[in-house]
Amino acid sequence: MIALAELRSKVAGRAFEQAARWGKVPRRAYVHYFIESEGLHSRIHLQNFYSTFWPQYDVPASASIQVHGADGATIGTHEVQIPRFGSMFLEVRDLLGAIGTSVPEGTVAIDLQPAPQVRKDFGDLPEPAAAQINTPFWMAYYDADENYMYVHSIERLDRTFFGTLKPISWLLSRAPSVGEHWRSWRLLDREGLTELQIVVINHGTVPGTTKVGVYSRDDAETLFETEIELQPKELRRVRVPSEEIARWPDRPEHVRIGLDPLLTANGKPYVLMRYSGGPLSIHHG
Amino acid sequence: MPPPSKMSDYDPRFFRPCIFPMLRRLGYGTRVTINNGVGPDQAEATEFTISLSAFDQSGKHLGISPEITRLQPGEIEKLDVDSLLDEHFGLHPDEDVLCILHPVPARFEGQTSVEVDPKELMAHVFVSDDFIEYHQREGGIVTGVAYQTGLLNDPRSSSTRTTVCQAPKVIVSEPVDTMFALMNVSNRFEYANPVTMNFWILGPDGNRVARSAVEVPPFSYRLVSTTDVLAEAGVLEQYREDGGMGMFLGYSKNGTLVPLSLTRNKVSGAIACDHTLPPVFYVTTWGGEKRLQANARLEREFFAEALAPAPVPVAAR
Repeated sequence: MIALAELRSKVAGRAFEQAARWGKVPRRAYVHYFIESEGLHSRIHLQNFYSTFWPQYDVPASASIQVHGADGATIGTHEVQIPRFGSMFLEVRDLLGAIGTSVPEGTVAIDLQPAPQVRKDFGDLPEPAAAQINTPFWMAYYDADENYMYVHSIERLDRTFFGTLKPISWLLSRAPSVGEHWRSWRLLDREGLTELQIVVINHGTVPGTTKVGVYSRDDAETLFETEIELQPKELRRVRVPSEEIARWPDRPEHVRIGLDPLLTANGKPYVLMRYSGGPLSIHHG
Repeated sequence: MPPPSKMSDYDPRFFRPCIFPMLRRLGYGTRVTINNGVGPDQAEATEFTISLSAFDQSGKHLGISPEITRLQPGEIEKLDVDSLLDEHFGLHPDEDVLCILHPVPARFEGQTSVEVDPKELMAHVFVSDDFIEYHQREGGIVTGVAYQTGLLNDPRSSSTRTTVCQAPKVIVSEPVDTMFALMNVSNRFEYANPVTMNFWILGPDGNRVARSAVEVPPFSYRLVSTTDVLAEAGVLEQYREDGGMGMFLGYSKNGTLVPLSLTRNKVSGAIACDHTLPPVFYVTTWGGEKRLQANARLEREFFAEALAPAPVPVAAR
């Protein structure tokens, strides 16, 4: 059995190397939450990162953007050419207009496609059998007064691979991403907190159920908790009632967000919060 | 360069450091949620004793505090760093310093040179997303960023040390400035290498708008205001008229710098903090000779012409 497994592994490794030589290294799209409500706007920031790695080629890259609504349905796709060393600063409201929708929130996933000249060099990558190319990007969230928050993408489209051979894509996409019990590594000050919303996204390809809540530092006390079920790519913005926050006792001094479980390996929620009349902020949980 | 199976003569105060800049002159206090992320059921679990170092803007080590707390495996705690600086170093509340929290395995307490297993070290570094929270001293702004700082500027962990920073996060408008905090740190107190970052601010179409450079002394950081750089180049108004957005493209060939971006509304004090992403986030196996070749091309393309380090533009409050 071990010999058979080794043989399979060797065959797969050679297939990946050959794919890299043909410029077909698997690519993965990162995903971000967007919001065009609550007084907030969202703007995508993505650079043509291929230029930095292959500056010798004066070629653009093509950003393929998928838009999903809060219910997980695919609304549309959009393509943007990014010049060499250029950047895309794309207002989400303009993106939504371009695909004929005005949904107030949802997700976008982006795969940056390299030019053929760049793909020809993929065979020279270190460890070509293990190489993958990702498209991480940033979302700037801001209000009418230009109060900004930046969040970098941390989760990818599950079981979806671009730019490679079908058998490799099939091989890579067999195992779904699995999440675990999770508590945020950020402690939030209880004092002054007036608003708290937790955006939970199912980045996976199967429906999932999770408990979302607010807990004491040591997890001994549950201050808020609700269970939600989400379809693939669906999101839910869970608003912790302000009157409930006001009723929380002064102790614990610090609280933390939690999900049990995360619906994918790194599917941490986005957290919107407000302190003492300040602007809304947004960050990963 | 393959990692060694054991690292000897390792200072355990850099076992899994948490390194961050203070932004006191800009009017923010700092709180840090620090964790002992390796849980009790894992092989590498250990109790941490935690102390704090501070370094002034020249990189001078102002000292190291006695133990400020202990963390059991899986525990986290939030620390008010301004209070700790006041208590242990007596600093002026506006004085900006670089801070290092030192989580040290209890078995290494009091020691300055030990032998460590890199696997154990990395197990702790990989789960060390400490949250650095900046809060307005007066007002409702609470923000921050989580990141890891592992083994940096140590010849035992990498034979060549360079930094390429590509950050399409420059936003400059009338009320908004984007600053880059560039930290030059190591996991050895004797580290003494200043690092220079050459950089361009590029426009959305990749055009070159302004170039500058900054030298960062060891164990310090510099705040580069992109507004100041654009103004110095005489292109600030044009840049704003063109949309006020672009990319920071930086290159250091003599050391590793840790870049953080800070997009700040100078009127409200709202501040977006984030780290940039290293090359392996984009191309998972990037490194080795390929990286060196690409860096050399990038240098020829953008930084071939020598530029003396400019006066460091530090944003005024």
